[in-house]
Amino acid sequence: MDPVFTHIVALGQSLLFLAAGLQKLRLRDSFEQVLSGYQLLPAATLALASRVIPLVELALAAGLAYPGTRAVAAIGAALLLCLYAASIWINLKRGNIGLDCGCQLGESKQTISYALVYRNALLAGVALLLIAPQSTREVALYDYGATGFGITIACLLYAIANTQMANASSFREINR
Amino acid sequence: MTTALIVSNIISWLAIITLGVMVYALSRQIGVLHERIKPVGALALGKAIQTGDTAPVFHENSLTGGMVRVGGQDTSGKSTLIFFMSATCPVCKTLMPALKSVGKQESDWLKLVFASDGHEAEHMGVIRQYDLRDYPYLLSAEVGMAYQVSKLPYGVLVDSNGQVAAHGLINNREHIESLFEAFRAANTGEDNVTQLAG
Repeated sequence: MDPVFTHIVALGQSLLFLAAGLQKLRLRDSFEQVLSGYQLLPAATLALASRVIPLVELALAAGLAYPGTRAVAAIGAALLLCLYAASIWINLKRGNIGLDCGCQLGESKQTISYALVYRNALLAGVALLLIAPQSTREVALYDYGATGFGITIACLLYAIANTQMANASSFREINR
Repeated sequence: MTTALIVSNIISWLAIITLGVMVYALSRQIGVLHERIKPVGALALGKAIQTGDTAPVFHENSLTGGMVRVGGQDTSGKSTLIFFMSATCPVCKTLMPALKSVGKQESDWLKLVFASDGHEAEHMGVIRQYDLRDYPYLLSAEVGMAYQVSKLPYGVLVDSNGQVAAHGLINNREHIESLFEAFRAANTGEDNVTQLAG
């Protein structure tokens, strides 16, 4: 894979986990509440899990940023994203459709939906691109520009997709 | 030629980023609009108990000890706010501190009663966690059914004569207060709709 793509994917995902981890640390109480809503972990482990999960996310963010640990971190990131997707999917199957997904901790509530399952599966797939063999093409100044553009647009598209999903959720709430 | 391509490419990047920012801003605005058109105050749901109805009367054991009575004439002249909740609903839990402070603030005319159903052990955990020992806490599916509660957390305000004064879905502190506003408006005969909407 071309180094420009590698950098966009690796740094984009690193930023994603950095933001997610910091937010969960900052709003640990809300996060614990969301976790208990998912009803997947025994109540006794919730406090521990709400501390460990953000740290795992921050570790992945760091791992994805450094080329040496990138491939391992990518597998970890894909596993974590699949775990989230599975948690949401299980609760959708349970009919627990009013559950707060925890996508907007501390802010307004957003209910879980299949869109979130697909989003996480897609992100996991993108993370796995980092395991593919990398090209050794020489990187020039222009490539840095392209990488910067790629990361900016990736973040923007992610933010747009998320607000659209939140809008769909709040619209369902009004329309029911 | 290469320089021209690079320049034109940079222009397209800038254009795409600008468009992306605009789409993001637009979708945020849609979210804000959704917030704005949400119903004001506690939302009363289609088939529910009606304001002015006589509230069903129940005598139940309280998990926090003693008996608790909901509905019927209150000898102390106080009204009762029955808060229907579940041990597994996160919104219910976020409301606990607000409910407790409202319960204290309005204690001269209001009694707060928690109502739910399910496993006793789970609810004992909730009582411990939020220190609800001073409040009656009843566990009975019949009460919820009699009050026609279909969504949680749900509040029913019963006045001292045993009549339903206000009721509705409660998602935040403002919703609790809107029940009191409706109650006061009915009691004083004032039209408080403008105040509610404001």
